[in-house]
Amino acid sequence: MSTRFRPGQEPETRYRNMDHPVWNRVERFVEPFSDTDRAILPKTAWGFIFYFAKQARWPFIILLFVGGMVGSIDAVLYWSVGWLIDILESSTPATLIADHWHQLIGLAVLLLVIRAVVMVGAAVIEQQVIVPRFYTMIRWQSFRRVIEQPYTFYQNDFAGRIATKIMQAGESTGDFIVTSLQALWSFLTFVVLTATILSTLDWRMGAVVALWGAGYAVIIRFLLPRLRRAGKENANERAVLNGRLVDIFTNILSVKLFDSGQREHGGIRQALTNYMSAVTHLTRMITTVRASVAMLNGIMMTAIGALAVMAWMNGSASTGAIAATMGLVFRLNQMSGWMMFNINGLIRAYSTVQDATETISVEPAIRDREDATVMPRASGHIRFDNVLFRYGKKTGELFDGLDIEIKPGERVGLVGPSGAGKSTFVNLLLRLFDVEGGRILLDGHDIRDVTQASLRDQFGVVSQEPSLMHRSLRDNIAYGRPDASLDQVIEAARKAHAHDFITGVEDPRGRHGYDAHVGERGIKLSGGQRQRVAIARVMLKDAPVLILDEATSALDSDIEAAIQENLQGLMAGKTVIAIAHRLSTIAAMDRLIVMDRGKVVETGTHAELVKKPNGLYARLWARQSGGFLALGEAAE
Amino acid sequence: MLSWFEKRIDPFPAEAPEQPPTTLFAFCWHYTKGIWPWLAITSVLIAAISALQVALFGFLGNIIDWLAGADRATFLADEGWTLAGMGFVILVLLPGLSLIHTMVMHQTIFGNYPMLIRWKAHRYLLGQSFGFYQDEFAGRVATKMMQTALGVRETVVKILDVLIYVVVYFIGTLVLVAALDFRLMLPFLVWLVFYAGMLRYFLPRMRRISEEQSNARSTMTGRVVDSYTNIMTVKLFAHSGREEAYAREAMDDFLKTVHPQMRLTTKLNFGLDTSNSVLLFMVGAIGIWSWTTGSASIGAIAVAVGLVLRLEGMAHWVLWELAGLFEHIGMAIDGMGTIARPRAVRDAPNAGTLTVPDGKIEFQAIRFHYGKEGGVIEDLSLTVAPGEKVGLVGRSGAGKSTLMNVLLRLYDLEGGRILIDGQDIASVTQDSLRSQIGVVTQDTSLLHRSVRDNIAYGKPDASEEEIVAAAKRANAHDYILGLADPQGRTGYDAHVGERGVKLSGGQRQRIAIARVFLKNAPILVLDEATSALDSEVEAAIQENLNALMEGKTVIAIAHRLSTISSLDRLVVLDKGAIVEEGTHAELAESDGLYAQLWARQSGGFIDAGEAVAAE
Repeated sequence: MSTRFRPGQEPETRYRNMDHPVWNRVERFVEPFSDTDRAILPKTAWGFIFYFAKQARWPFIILLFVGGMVGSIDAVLYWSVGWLIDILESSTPATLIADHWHQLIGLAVLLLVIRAVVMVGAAVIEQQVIVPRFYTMIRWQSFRRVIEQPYTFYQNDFAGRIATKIMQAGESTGDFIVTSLQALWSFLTFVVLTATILSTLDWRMGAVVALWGAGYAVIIRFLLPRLRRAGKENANERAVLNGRLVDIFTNILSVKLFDSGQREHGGIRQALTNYMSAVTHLTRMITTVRASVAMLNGIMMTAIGALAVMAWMNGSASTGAIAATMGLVFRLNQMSGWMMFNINGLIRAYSTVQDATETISVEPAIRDREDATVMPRASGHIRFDNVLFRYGKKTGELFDGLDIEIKPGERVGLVGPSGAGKSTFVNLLLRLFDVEGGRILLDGHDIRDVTQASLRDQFGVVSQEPSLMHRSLRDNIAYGRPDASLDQVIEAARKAHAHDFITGVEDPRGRHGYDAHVGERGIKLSGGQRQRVAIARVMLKDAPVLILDEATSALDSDIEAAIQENLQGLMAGKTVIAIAHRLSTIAAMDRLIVMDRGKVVETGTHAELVKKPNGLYARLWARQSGGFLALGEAAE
Repeated sequence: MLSWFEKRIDPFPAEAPEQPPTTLFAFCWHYTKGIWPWLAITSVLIAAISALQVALFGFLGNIIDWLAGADRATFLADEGWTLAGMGFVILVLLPGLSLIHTMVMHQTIFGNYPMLIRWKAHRYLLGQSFGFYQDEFAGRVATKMMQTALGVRETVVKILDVLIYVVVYFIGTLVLVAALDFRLMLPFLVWLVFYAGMLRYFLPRMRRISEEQSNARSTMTGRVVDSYTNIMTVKLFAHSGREEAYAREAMDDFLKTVHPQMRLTTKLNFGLDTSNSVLLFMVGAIGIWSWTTGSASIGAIAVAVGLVLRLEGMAHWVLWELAGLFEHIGMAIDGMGTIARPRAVRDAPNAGTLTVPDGKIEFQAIRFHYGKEGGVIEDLSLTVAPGEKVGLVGRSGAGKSTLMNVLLRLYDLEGGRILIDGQDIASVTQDSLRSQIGVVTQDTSLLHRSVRDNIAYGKPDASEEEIVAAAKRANAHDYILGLADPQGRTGYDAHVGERGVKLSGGQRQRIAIARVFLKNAPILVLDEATSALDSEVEAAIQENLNALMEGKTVIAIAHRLSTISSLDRLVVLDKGAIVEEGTHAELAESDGLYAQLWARQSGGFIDAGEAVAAE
């Protein structure tokens, strides 16, 4: 099979037909897309792991049982070898079979049948039942909780970093449980049985094993927490590095335009160096641990070897016993290295889960109340009642006792200098933030009393930076109304003057028109085209309140006029709140609210305000047109 | 001592990155060739350790035979030295070798190796053309880069470490067992053939699935990242439920690649466990039978059985390692697909540095269609004199932004050429080209760092005064002082969130403008710069932009025709061709496209020039 990879081409994904009666029965045991009612997932790693383990408890319980069996059978097998040697020693070829045939057969059965069944059973449970779906279930439930988080949650962290944590949470939780039940548990069983068996020969050997176990535990107790801390630091640094990379690639245009090429390397080098020191710390711990274990093992093996020989010399142990002893001890040696590795893995999984819960199990700052009602289609009566809001800061501008009322069907323009609070007004109305004092009413309902989803259903928003998702144009436009038919989508696109250019579009994978996918943030389209798609989206949604945030600023005048006509149609029967810097657009509003630094300073119609001597609006207007005559008069 | 080992490899080599090869082996070698001596050392060490461990079993066999045949009283006297020798090996030699091996592996190789891979890959990726980034999720590129480093390391290290250990061990086993009794060797050989057969059957299949899985995983992550990156849209359209369905689909697709992989693994496990059990049984049976004929001693049986048990454990371990190996190979191949692409826009081999003494820009019969057959720019010629301020006007999609993109060489032309002061931009380095052009774009992307770093991005060695001066000119200084981020950093130290979202559009734009002020390049490109500001601030910037435009060659694209009217000359584009040229006054009076656009823009306002005169 060729490993040659043709650049620019992705490997084809062929999903095999998965139906198969026997496999399916075990594979479908866990339901991956189920969920519980619990709103917030457990915050501690242990709580998190246990919470999910409970949801799929039976496979784990069986695994527990099977893991124990594996360890036991192992120990028994070694002891059997010793027994075999003894009977060989004490029999002659003639008497061997005659005396011991039933034991030999029993051994054969144990070996050929029972052992194989147990081991395969363990494999099936881990690989068919647990790994695929259980891991998915955790990711799924985590994703659902995180997507409910309010907007502020996302402003404080990289999207890439959050996503990574969710993906890892699934893997690490599953790995933790499986490794504990399979590896750790069977190891413990083996050790205990070994100690017991050896004690029957010579209590001192049992004691040595016990001491060894204690030494092993001491290493775990003292070195492993440090290993764990190093691991957590590692995971953190890796996430930071990842986030940084995503940031650079997302803003690659800025990088190309402003960075002479070398410095971004420097920045990443710093991040890599930080990551390196975390890795170094970790690897040193690893080496220390391995060296300690090797030393401990060496001492144990020699001690037991010596004791065994002595026991033999004073006749209290048979040859077979010695053989079994040495075998068991070698096995212990072999397992301990592997086990340390597994324990390390456990610790790493645990700390990854911990890292993830810090992001996933956060209480959402804005939540629907328990008894939140669904808001019916609003008529559009909006009232800000003594609203106080400062983005959580202690002092500074923004809203302090803001009172605004907008009647249903009114078209209101919000005007003011940059930072006056216009966008904040809209954000509060949409409940992207909760007010810190006062309240906001929509049709008499406090917006905190209704579900966020039903609240936002009432608003169609056209924002100044339209973000389109990395999917087809059709999906993007229909995002406002998912059950829309293709005809409805096309109609909305026509109204937004997007239909024509859409039919000519094709993406790198050869999809055309409405099926074409737009790149991250819809970059492949020009600004005006993106805006038109966003407008089509709003038109299709047909919500009772329309919010325009500098909608038409990015279009050229030809298109702008066409949309302007349609916006008129769209605005009919709706309450409209428009924030625009294009004062010529605003002049078509019924009323204007002029804001400055979080306060309403003027309100009235354009005609009234423009005449106010030294009024803020009048000043803004004068600068905008560079001295042009007012709109109304020039139309003649 | 540990740090001595750590410093053996430099994780940040200085050589310029080249395009990596596109076959797996060559790809890995590309990143490995610098450190192969260390890998060779670990290989030798691991071989020695493996051989010694086999030898231990031989000792065990000897002991048992002695025990069976020796006199208890004289045992120590007879074999004391040999026992001491064994003790030495167990207590000193083996742990010592293991320690050195561990240190080389973990201190020297483990951390440095993937780091140098990441470093080289990242530097290469940064040089990729803009078109490359538009086709991929940023998150996915980053993930692939990080994972590929891990994938390559694990692939190379595992193959060497595990493979050598196992091969030496097995050969040692065969030798040892054959020395005891010929016939005991047979089950081992049969088992080996069976084992090899199973590997041969399963491995290619597992590899294929790993690749698919790696891809599906990237898609799954990419979708989740997409939802979070566009969380505002998700919230505004109240679509958490829909996003869930979308992510669920990707998770389900991923799941579909996991099940086949797991089935294969289980089948392999089954084959392995059964063959191991059979081997053990056979060895035991043959051993006992040989004993009955007197040709094998008890010790021989013990050794053979012991070796089988040991081999069993190893077989599982090897299998487990191989499974992991395939995942890592899959990651490496997947990453290779992204990282090993040729750069679409490359510096010419002898690319010089662009010097701009005057600032004359010439577009000579250029042709560019984004790789399609037509429909963008065909045979366009335009000359901008040094110091001239030219405006590009036209409908959406007329080719204005495209013109900017090819000027900045974000894409290579398909025909014609562009000259700056007589130098073909394709003959100079991209870095030198872009360092001479300051750009203010309509989509301000600020990086997730401090305000200071963002402003100084155009000129990293700028002093604090220069940064503040630039910010003041852009009317950003005042509001910057009032900023504070969640970590408590204030003013210029405050970090702006992803894509600078914590600021309003106008504020972001001002920082972007400050950035350009600071860079102070001789050519200025304005792409709808001031469209997002309110009029009061706009005027302030307008004054400064005028100062900034002084002595520079300017190309501005704006929809705000009122802005453009202050430029020297206007070039009107329609469907990728120049249809009109002239000053605002000339064009507004003629009956052409510009006049139409102007009429609609002002809603019937009379000419700017006359209105001013009228006051």
